[in-house]
Amino acid sequence: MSSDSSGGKPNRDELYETAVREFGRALDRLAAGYEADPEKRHDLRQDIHLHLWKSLAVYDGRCSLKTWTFRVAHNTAVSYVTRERRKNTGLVSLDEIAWTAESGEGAEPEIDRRRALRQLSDFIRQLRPLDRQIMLCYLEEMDTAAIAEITGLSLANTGMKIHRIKTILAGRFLEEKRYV
Amino acid sequence: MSERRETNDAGTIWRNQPEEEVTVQLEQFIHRRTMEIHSSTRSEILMSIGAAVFFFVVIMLRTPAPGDPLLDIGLVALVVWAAAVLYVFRRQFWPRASSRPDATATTGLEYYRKELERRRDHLRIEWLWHGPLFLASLILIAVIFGRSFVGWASLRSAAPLIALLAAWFVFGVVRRLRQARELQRQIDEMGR
Repeated sequence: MSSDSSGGKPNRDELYETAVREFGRALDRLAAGYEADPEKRHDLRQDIHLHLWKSLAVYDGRCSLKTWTFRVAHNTAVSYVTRERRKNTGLVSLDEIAWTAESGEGAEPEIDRRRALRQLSDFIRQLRPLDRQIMLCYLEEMDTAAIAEITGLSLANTGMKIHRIKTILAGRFLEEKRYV
Repeated sequence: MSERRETNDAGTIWRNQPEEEVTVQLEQFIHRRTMEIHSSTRSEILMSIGAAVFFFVVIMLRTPAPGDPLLDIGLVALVVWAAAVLYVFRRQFWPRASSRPDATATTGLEYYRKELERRRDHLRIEWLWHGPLFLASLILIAVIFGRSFVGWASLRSAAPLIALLAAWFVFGVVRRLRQARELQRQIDEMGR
């Protein structure tokens, strides 16, 4: 899978390698946010990489490589969720969702952390695609502008949704903060 | 202040989740997608031919009386058409045996592109591989309702069913052509 390089401009393979090096782990987590089953998640991850590699042929640098990578990754994952219609039923928006925290009183910090991760993952996978995108970007420490650029939402709308996410997460983590 | 710290904890947990020891192998993925496309193409043809054969058997069982010109001509046409389809699409059944010797030496992506092109071509001529089924359906309708060319009156009674079948056939062709256009778009993207 090679691409011709033209002048000083990085070619598709170089861009892909850079994207994987810098955002590969985040892409893995993104896939985890969309698919719980390890085997299917592996397929989704490969699908994301394939689409990313293909899309980089037309990358023109008008947005950052990070924005491009996450846009492609989210769009691929959303298409995947749409294909898996069975899972589409029961998805909710940020306004409708409620965090049902399990009580882990007395548990070891490591067990507690694992349980928190599982709950967080389950929580994310209940969200509708757009809200899920925002949640995942937020957890990756992206700022409002970057999230708005990736999702295509307005800054104000993105800000409102992030505020809602913060409220939900704070509500849950203020209840249990033994792992802090 | 506290809210910010707590929500950051969720981010910390999320970002520090254990890594999965799985490598992304695009070649492997492309190969699997290629096989899936090939498999669906093959099963479509086989199902279409199989359905035509099924109708053929139904016609034979429903109209045991020999010497019906409509039935004879129709069934010969059906068999010839089905044989032609099998011949035209023979490479779809045994792609490895009939492909060029250097086919496996191409990159996975090139191989995938070729399979997409093949799939596109397959969809563009859906009328050809769906034809036997369509023809068999028409014969069945004509024979059952028309009772072998006795008169147009009984054929007229079958008109709604024939119209429905024709509409289904046209809808199928249009849908396949749309899918072929989508595949063409994917192929164009890969060429960039």
